[in-house]
Order: sequence, then C-alpha cells, then structure tokens
Amino acid sequence: MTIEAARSLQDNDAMHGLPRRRTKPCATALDRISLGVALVLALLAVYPLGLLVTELFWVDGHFSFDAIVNTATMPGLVVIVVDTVIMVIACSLLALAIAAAFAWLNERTDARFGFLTDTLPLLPFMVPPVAGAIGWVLLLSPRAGYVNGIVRALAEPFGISLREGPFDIFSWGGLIFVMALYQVPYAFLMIVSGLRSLDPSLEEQSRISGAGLFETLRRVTLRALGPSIAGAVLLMAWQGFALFSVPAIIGSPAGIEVLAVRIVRLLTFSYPPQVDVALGLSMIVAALVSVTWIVQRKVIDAGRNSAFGGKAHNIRIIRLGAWKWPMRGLMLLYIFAAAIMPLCALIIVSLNGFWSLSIKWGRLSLDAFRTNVFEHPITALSLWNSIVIGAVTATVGILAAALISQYLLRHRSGLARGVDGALKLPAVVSHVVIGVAFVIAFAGPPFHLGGTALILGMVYLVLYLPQALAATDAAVGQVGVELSEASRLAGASDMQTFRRINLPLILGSLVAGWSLMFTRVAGDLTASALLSGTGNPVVGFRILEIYTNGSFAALAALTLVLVAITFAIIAVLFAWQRHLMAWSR
Amino acid sequence: MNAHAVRAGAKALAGMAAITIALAGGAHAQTGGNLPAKVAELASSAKQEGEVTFYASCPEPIAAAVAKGFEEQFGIHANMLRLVTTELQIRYARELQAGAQSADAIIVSHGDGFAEKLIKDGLMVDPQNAGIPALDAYPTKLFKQGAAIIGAEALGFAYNTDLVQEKDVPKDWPDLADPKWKGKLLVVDPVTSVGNTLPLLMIQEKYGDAAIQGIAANVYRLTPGIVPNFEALAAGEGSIGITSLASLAKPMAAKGAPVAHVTLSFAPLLQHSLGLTAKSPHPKAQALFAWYMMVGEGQKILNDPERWSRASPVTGENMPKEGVEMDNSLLPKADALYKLFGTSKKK
Repeated sequence: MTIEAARSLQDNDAMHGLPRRRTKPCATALDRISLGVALVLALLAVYPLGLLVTELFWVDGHFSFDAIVNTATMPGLVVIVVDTVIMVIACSLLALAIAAAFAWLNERTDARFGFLTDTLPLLPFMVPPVAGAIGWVLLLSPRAGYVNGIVRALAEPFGISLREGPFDIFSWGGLIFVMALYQVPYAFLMIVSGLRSLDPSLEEQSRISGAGLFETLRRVTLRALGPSIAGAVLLMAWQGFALFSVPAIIGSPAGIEVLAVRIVRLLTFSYPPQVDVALGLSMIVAALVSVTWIVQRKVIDAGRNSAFGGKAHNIRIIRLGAWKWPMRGLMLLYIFAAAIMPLCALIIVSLNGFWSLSIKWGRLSLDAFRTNVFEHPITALSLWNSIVIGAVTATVGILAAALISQYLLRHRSGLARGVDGALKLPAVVSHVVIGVAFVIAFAGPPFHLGGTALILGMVYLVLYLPQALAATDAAVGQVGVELSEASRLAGASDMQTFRRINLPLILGSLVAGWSLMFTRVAGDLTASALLSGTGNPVVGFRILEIYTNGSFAALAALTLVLVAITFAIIAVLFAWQRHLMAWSR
Repeated sequence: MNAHAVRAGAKALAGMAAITIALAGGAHAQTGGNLPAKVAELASSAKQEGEVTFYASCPEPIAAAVAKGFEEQFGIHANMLRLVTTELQIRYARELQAGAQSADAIIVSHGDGFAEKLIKDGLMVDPQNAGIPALDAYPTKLFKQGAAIIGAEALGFAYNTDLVQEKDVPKDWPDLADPKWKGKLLVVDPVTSVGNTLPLLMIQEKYGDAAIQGIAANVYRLTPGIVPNFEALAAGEGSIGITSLASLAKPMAAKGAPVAHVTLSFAPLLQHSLGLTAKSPHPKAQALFAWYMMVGEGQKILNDPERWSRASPVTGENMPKEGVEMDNSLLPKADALYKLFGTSKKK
C-alpha cells in the first residue's frame, strides 16, 4: 500500500457517496509500542518533578501550603502576570503575521529565493537567546548601538544632531520585536511544513471556481492550515512564557518584569533558592499555557473533519508579476534585519575585543576565537558533546514524538490525555527547576548518573519533547486518520502503514521538529548549568560561564562558531528534505 | 659598647636570623621544593587518588591558574568547574543531598552561611576539623561559618577614560551622588543577586540615605550583570559603572577598552571562602588542595595582586584600608533599595 493507493481508495469512497470510514481503534503492536514509549517519557518528566513537589509540600511529616500562600501574596504578582501576557500575545501575533506571509510567499509564489528564503529565516533561532539579545543590544542601545550610531552619523550632514537614539531597544517595542524574532522560526517551520503537506489541488480548484488569490488564501489555505497554525501558536506561547534571556537582558532595564525572569531570580538571587514560589509561579504559567493547549487540541480535532491527507504534489506556483521583486525585497530586508545584522554586530565585537562605536579597524584580531574557542582546553570538547548529544536527543525525541502523536490522534482515552499532559508539563516549568529535579532524582543513588552524558540527554529530552510534540501533533493532525485507515483496510499491517503512509507524509514536519530540538539542545544553558560537569562539558555551560564572568567578545566568538556548525547541519538537512520531497513527487 | 649592649645585639641578631631562616624555610616549603613533612606525606598518598575536583565562582582565568598550579606542584590533575556563586551553591548542595558528590571542595563568595547549613546535615565538613596539616600560618579568625576565608577582592566603581577626565574621577562614594553625573551612571541591577544588592546597602549604611538616593537619581540604566555593565561602560553608554572588580576591568583595559577601576577607601569586600565536602571522593587530595589554597602556592595564585589585583586576608597583602565584609543583616532593607533604584518602575 502506497500513499497514492491509499488516497485513491479514500477518493473512491468519496466518489461513491460512502461516509468516511473511521474504524474504532483497537490496540495494535504499534499502539502498544507508542504507548510504552509515551509512558516511559512521561515517567521521566513526572518522576523528578514529583520528588521536588513532594519535598516542597510535605514538610516535617505534614502538608504545607506555604508555597501557594507565598506565591499568592508575592508583591507585584498581578503586574508581572499582566505584563507577561501582553508580551506573549503581542510578540506571538507579530511573529505569526511575519511567518505566515514569509511561508506563503516562499512555498506558493515565485518570490521564493531558494536557499536564502528557505533557511535564513531560521537563523535567529540558531543563535542562543542570550547572544541574540546581546546582538540587539549592540545594535539598538540608545547611545552606543551600531544602528543608532550610523543613523546619527547620516543625520549629521542634514543638521540633525542627536546625542542618543533614535532607537531604544530597552523599551516595550524593543522587547516585543526581539521576542517576535525568536518566535518567527517556530511559526515559519510549522506553517512551511503544513503548506508542503497540503494538497494544493484544493487551492487550485478554489481559484478555478472563481475565487481570488486572497479569498483562496483566507477560505482554503488558512483553514486547512489550522492545525499547523495552532501548533505554531502553542509553541510560541511556550517559548514566550519560558524564554528568560531576552526579557532579562532587554526587558528588565526597561522596567518590564515577566514571569520567566522572576522565576529564575527566585532561584538564583541567593542560597537557599526560593524553589517553592518559583514552582508556584510556574503553575501560573501552566494555567496560561493550558488555555493555548486546549485551543490547539480543539483546532486539531476540528481539522480531522476536513482532513484531506496527502502531500503537496504538482504545486502550481503563483506568479506575482510586478509584485515579485517588491515581495522578494521585503523578504530579503527581513532576513537582513533579523538574521544578518545581529550576527554582524557579534562579529565586530568578537574581532574588536569589546563593544565600542569607535572601531579601530587595523587592530581587529581573531584573539577572542583563539583564546575562547580554538585554544581553550574544553571548548572543542564542549562543542563536540553538544552536537552529538543534540543530534542523538533530537533523533530519539522526534521519532518518539511521531509515534506518540500518532497514538494520541487515534486514542482519546483518559490515559492518553494524561500522558499527553505529563509529556507537555515540562514546557511550563522553569528549566532551572527541572535541572534541580533531575539532580535529586538521577544524579545520586540508585542511578548514579551525575556527570554523565546520559543525564544530559535525558533532561534535554524531557525539556524539548513538548516542542517536538507540537510539531508532530500538527503534522499528524493535518494528515488525519483516513489515509492510514484506508491502508489498513487494504490489508497493510500497522507498522507498514506507519512506515509507508504516515512517515513520508509527516517527514517535512519531522525535519522541522528535529531542527527545533537539535538547535535548542545544542545551545541549552540553564539545565546544562546544573547537569553539565567536568566529565560532560557542553557548550551552553561555557556560554553561561562567559556571560557571567567573561566578555561580550568571548561570548560572541563562541556563539558564532556554534551558529556556524548548527546552521551548516540544518541547511544540509533542509536541502536533503527538499530533495527527498521533490523526488517523492 | 658594654657587654649588655653586645648581648642584646647578639640576641637581636640571633632572633632576626631565626625569623629569616623560618620565613625562608616557610617560603621555600610553599613553593613546592621542600614541603612540610606532613604535607609531603599527604601529597604522596593524594597522588594515589589521581585527581581532585573543585567548584569555583572566581573568574575563570583565576580558577584555571589555581588548577594549573596544583597540577604542576603535585602532579595531581585538578578538575575545575566555574559558575556564579548561587548557581554553584544550588548545584553543589543538590548533588550532596542526592548522594552524588562530584566536587571535593567549593570556593564561593562568603557571607550567607551556606556551608553551616550543609555541615549540620553532615554533607560538608568544617575545614578546621578536616585534619588539614601545617596550617600554622593560617589565621584562625578566618575560619567562619563552616568555611575558611581564602581570598578577597575590593569592590569599587569603574569609569570610561574617554568620557571622564582623571581630575573629575570621584574620590568617594557620595561624590557619585553629585547631579553632574545625572544620566551617566550604569548600575548592575541590585535585584539580580544578593552580591549586587549588598554593596549598595553597605554604601547606604555608611554614608546615609541621601548618598544612595543621589546615586539612584543619577542612574542612566540598570544592567543585568557585571559583564554587560562593563561592556556598556566601555562602549560609552554611561560614564561610570557601579560596582566594579579590578580583576574584570584589567583584562578589558589590556585589550584597549577605555575603562579603569577605582578602589575607594571604603570598599565592600567580595570574599571567597573554601568549603569541603564530607565523604569526599578524594579525601587525601581534598586535604592537600585545602592546604594549597589556605597557605600554599594556591593562596598566592588566587590573590596575586599583580595579575588580578586581589587581596589576601591570610597575609594581609593588598587589603584595602577600610575593607568591609559583606553584611547580610542589611538584606531586610533591600526592598526599599529596589524601589529607590526604580527596578519595579516602567520607563
């Protein structure tokens, strides 16, 4: 049974006016494997957090509600929650608008610019957020930002003399803008993979039936992309609530405090850390994200009724005519502003040795690369460890996520929903809290995993599986169950159906999810701070170390090397994915 | 010259000679050529253990130099892991509580009684009860809160040498409250850590509310850490950066950045103390490392005034005139300080 055969069987039913076949799911071997994988991973997420929560609420032999009381009575709580929600909504909307426009232009029109518009929009995502935020500080700080310096110099001949500005990154606008840049790749990846899996014949039929370009976009494309967009929104909400570095570096100096920043400060202000209130605040984040999650499930459920399965084939590219180059210009401008400029700022600082507007071009050197990367005793090993652990974790994670999403699509029992919730729980808990929980649970007896690569792999899997699941949930939601049911009815085994029907259809999303996981794991800072040691150094630990007691030049040098490696790996992967999909068409 | 004078002179000479020999011997022993017998014996058995692991919050080049010095002197590999104090403490304490001791020793900022809590739980051991040999030269008053104070660095401020002329450099903390500095101060946000809160509270305690209110009124921006503060200062975002460490300012200035550090007579002291793990994975190497850091070559490397501009509480070398230990009892006043610096206000 192939996809085409399954599709023709499905179409055959439709032609004969038969209702869509939906067999009651029965537990197959694949279901049992998927459930087993899901249960093991859910246990891995829940067990350490359970130990930590027990420690907090079970004090001296009795229940203590101090954690809840301390959280509820925290001064300024309402302001922090409101500011957090405003920030997340604003940056998600901005990111969604940019990503959707970018993805549609890239996948459906002749404005696509090959490699440039395929991969470069993802570049900001590959820069660890701490370095990305610093890149923007270097560009848009009011007095010494490079962009401000250039604008002031250009304005001078016109008699406009400014002491500072005109831009100020330390503002609501600056915070939302940089946060959105970190959201765009999530949405872009999800919508692109959705568009690639979407059968374009519906869009063509809509246009043939007289609907205009925008009507087709609104009534067909966007509706069919519902699961992808919902997945993107969920991912962006998680990311928005959890991201610490950008609000800490850009928001706090502007007097904007958000939940992620307060949670990390409660944990790192002094010893002992205030884990109880940090967990209490994490529960508020959980409640906020749950709303997004419920909406996503509803969209996916609704998407099942309109699932038309199959991947894009024979896509007719829309000719934009006179709009082609302006659209290309806009895309290139975005790529330049979002991806190239902050990297350029980091390159200049790494070569100059420190941040300065007065660059002595003759004194630029590669010292920061030499001392902090190439000749540093553990950086090379850290980079290697991060890439290997990142690749292994992302591969295991995305395959597990594909199996689990497939299972969750077919089974809606209480157990399935419980497992789904447990697997997504870590997305709303501070990574520092999860790191502490893993030390308690696995570093000592009986597991003795402290200082090993395994404990790092385990914690990364737990931390970043929710992102992979959001990608695969959307993919399997969009493909629906009809094709696989048709395949089964035609006699294919469950395993054959998964391998020959489902897997090829969701391949694009798997590659996107793998990229998300790999990038995040390779650059993880917070969990690494607690679990990476002298025997298992990773690059995130080095970045954190340099940020707290090194220099921007050292941080920039290390980040640039990491970005170059990550970008090369993902670019190759995307090229391979396009080749594979083109071949399968 | 009478006989009494001769005898007195001879006694004095003999005394001086004895002191010289003792000092020379001591100095020689501490350079590794001729260790005290008990230390040499300890070094021999420590070598069997093969390695020692320590966590440190001092800047990486210093911690790396300490590790290298230990390896060169004793031929024992020293694993070093560096992070900021609180994150190290969380990590170390949780490892001990989980029974996963990986560090033999920890060197962190002193003052919060961190070690005392873990000694009570039997997870750490007080260095004065750890059987470390040959500690005669170590002042017993430096055994505090279950740890041994081994190093110090005076906190001051830094200024941008392109923007501030030497004659205008403030001479004391209240000078920073002068309105001429309005919109020119970069201050490490006190809410980020206790280490960034206490120096400001100590300035307030010493010079009064008016001084700290004046400083707060002159702030241009709060920065999220000492590294961003230095970088912004070098770039000219502000003219003066508070607080500053010479060990960070010096390397930047060496690269050509227009920054200079100033230590004032009243200087909050960032002290580092050594804590020891109970049931250490390498007990002999741990004891040897503790000796090395408290009175041995490690003490000199850690507090080298030339390389890092640090001070030694053990020998008194380079200690500021009015160096004051961090005072955690001031923390209840922190909320008022945060309000003053506007950390909870929006622009």
